Amino acid sequence: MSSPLGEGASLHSVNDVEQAMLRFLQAMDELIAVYPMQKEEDRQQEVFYLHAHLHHMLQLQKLLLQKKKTCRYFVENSSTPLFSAGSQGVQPDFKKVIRSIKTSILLKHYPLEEKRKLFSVLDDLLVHHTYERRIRLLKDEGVQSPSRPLMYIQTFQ
Amino acid sequence: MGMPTIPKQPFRPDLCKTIIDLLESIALEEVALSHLLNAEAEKVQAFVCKYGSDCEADFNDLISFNQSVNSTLNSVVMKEFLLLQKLETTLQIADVKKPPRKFHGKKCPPKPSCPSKTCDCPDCRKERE
Repeated sequence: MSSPLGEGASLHSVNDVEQAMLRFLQAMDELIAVYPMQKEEDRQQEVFYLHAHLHHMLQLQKLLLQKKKTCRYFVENSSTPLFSAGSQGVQPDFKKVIRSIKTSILLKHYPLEEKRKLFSVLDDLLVHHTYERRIRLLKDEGVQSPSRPLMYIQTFQ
Repeated sequence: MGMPTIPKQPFRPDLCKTIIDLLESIALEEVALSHLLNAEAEKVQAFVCKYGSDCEADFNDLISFNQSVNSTLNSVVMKEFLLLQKLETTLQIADVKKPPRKFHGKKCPPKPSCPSKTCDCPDCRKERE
């Protein structure tokens, strides 16, 4: 006996968290510009924390994706159409913010290896964020969905 | 050390209502998390406003600031993980609970009898005896 009311509420709250994540990423983008970057050691610390914050965002996005999948299954299979519309999926700003963070990182004098790591996390974040919508589009086109989101990395590069 | 006395409750919700309550509690906790994350974003923006326009940021300030943001984010991620576990467990309970079979009040139809009546099934044997 599933309850679409509760699951729908869960699905909506996931959207709230995604909005907050978007806002945090925008703030991160602004923060990158403030870092003073005087010594090599300082720069290492800076990259370490930047990586840590982005990694946390990625972890959060993965959990949200899992939650969306779980909720949506029940909401879509329920007979009550109350919350069947569910979330709006991807916000178009998300891609812009990720691109902006990438540009900010490119402008910094970080080691190449560090830049690559940060870019990898950002790409992964975008993939997980847009995964659900891409799956829906593919379903509309009648293509079978892939088993994991990482298969879409090539699309965004 | 005695046993705890639980006061009598006038209203006890059934399982279905409890599941809905649990799901709503998950949603509310998640909204609270989103507020926390939003507050953290505002904190970062306030920091940027403070150091971005007037003076250069002191590196020690930056490190301590980043540590505090990191710690909050870590807690948010952990809490989100726990909420996901709670959601899955709640939905499992919801899945296990199925509606009981209805008794239609009629007798079951008789089994079809054996056409040859020469086999070794218990019915035929009984008839032969």
